[in-house]
Amino acid sequence: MGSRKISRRTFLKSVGTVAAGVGLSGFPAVLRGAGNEILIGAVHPLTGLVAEAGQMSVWGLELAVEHVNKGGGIKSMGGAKLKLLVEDSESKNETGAIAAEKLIREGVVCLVGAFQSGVTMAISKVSDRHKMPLVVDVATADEITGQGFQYTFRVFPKISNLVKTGIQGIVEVTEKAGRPIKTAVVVHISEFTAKASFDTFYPMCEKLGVPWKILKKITYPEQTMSVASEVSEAKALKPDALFINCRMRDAIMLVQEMYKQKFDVDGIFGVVGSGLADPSFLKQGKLSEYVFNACPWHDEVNPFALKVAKEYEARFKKPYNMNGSHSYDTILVIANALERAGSVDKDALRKALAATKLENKTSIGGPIEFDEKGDNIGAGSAIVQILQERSKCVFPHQFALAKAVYPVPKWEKRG
Amino acid sequence: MLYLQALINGILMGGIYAVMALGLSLIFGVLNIINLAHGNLMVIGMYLSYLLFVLLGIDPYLSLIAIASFLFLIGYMIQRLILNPILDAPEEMSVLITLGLGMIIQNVLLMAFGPDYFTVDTSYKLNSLMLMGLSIDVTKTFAFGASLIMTGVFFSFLQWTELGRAIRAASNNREAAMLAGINVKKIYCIAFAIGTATVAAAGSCVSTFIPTSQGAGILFTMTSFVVVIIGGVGNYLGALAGGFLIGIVEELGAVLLSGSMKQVVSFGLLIIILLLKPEGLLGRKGEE
Repeated sequence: MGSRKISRRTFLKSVGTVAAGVGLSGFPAVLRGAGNEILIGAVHPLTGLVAEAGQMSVWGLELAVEHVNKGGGIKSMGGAKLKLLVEDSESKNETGAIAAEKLIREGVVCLVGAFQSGVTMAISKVSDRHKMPLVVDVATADEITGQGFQYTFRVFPKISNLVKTGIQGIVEVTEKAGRPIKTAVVVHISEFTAKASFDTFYPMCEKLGVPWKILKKITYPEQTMSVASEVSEAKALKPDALFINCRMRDAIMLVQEMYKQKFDVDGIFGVVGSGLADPSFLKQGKLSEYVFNACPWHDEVNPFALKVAKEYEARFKKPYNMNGSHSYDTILVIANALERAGSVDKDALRKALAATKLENKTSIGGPIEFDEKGDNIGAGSAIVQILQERSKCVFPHQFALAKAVYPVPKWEKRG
Repeated sequence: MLYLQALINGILMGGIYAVMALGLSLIFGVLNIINLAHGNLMVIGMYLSYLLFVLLGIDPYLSLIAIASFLFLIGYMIQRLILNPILDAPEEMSVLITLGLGMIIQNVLLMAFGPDYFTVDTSYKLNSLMLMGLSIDVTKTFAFGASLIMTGVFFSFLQWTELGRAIRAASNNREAAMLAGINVKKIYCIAFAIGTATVAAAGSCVSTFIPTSQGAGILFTMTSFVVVIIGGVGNYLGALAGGFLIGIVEELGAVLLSGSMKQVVSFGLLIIILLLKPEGLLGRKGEE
């Protein structure tokens, strides 16, 4: 065998080359950004449990960047093109914050993110420290915009508004059908976001004076082998409706078990239940059919939004939903602000963002305008119902694509 | 009425827990290996029954036999190639190796199938019998029946066949078995293979009512461990008793206390048993 030892000199040489390479690619990024390209940094979960949802947001961002560039870029800046840099948060707060720092070093003019509220909070602290605008595309916790940060804006609705509109929607849909809900049982997974939704839900019900009485709150562990007895328990109470929040796995088990036990209710309503919008749940046929969900949604009526949705679905083979649409709109908001600011100066951009009024967008609700906290005044939320294996908006009526089917058909009548 | 319903649910789940734990108990009893990949092997069984159902239309309760045989071979190779070489190493080694194996299985499945959930939609999947207001789940009853049959075969095999006796001998005393002319390494391979085959069969059984996904392995492993420890490590009747006990306690606990408490109840039971009878319900003194 010949000598395969690496000599000290070769070693140093290769290390030197690598170091030089890193240096070269690290620094000139700032220069590159200041030229005819404007860098925007996005942080989203691209691995882990919610990777699919994070990816759907990133696709929305990418599509919007492409559309802005095709439309001539930022005209007030000589047609400068947008360029998206994407980092994975791995669903971890610290990783998200580090990713944001990295993007800032690489010369982005604005940050976007970050799906999970915890990660978004961590990033908002970084952005505030660097006085770098952060436009939150998806994340619901009220606290994100409640920290008094000047540089944080949010396109997505905050949880308190989401739940409030959700309750109003449920009341309207059921009363319009002449079957107001008198009794309900809450069934949800014991997990942070589900609990947070219901912690907002209960006091809001009281505040709004809803017609229903909550008979029981049933929770089950995240990793469960069966929800049979939980369903038996709810069934014994004979409620008019179920309010639920599930992940996809337990959502499937829940409707299966309801069918098997012939547990009929007038309606199953997700309270910001993310699992209920997932493609795997939609495919459950008669089991998932007619399930309602109160959640943010994309506009299925406006022709501009429809065109974007069509292109998105054709290209990425996944339905355009609340994540894709709010991410897409976020890029439009940033492009619009850059256009008015006419510069990549952070403060000029912040001022322009604060003065946003954007009407052409793909999510539901009024024009995007930010209040003094940075929340989107026009952020809308909807009641969607699964009809023919697709989530369709049934409330509010100006965005409704279908008429709500309520009370839902009994299990035996579904074949 | 509700309690009766929960009791039925619990008995049905209990039979399934028992067969899940049986293989783990055998592997631990005979080989002294703490197999942390146990649940992941079960998940392989679930994916295979999904594939066979979707591609060839074979019912999971039929494909079960083919899947168990296939996983028997896989189990044999695992023991032969990666676990036999560390027989004389400290026990912790097997923990690390099987933990790694479990991670590899999970990630390979993630790469192959993605994070999606799959359901085996047999024609009878959603059927249930209604008896005086009580509902009895048909697929779970099938799974329960299959579990009982498998357990029966398993016991008869260990009790009355030459190979079964050899396995028990190797479990009781490795050196003495070797002196008696038993090829212990081969016996170990067979024992691990049987353990793998039964848990894969359990996977086939549950694929009709638990959505298949790569992440479920750890849940199955943990449940099996609780059952085995409660029943008595290495005691196969104990696995059966432990399975039923956990099934019933969890389902009744969900109704009596709260659903999110049910795992607290089963782990609480585990702690009580470890405190009062550390050898497990049916374990003999000195086996702990």
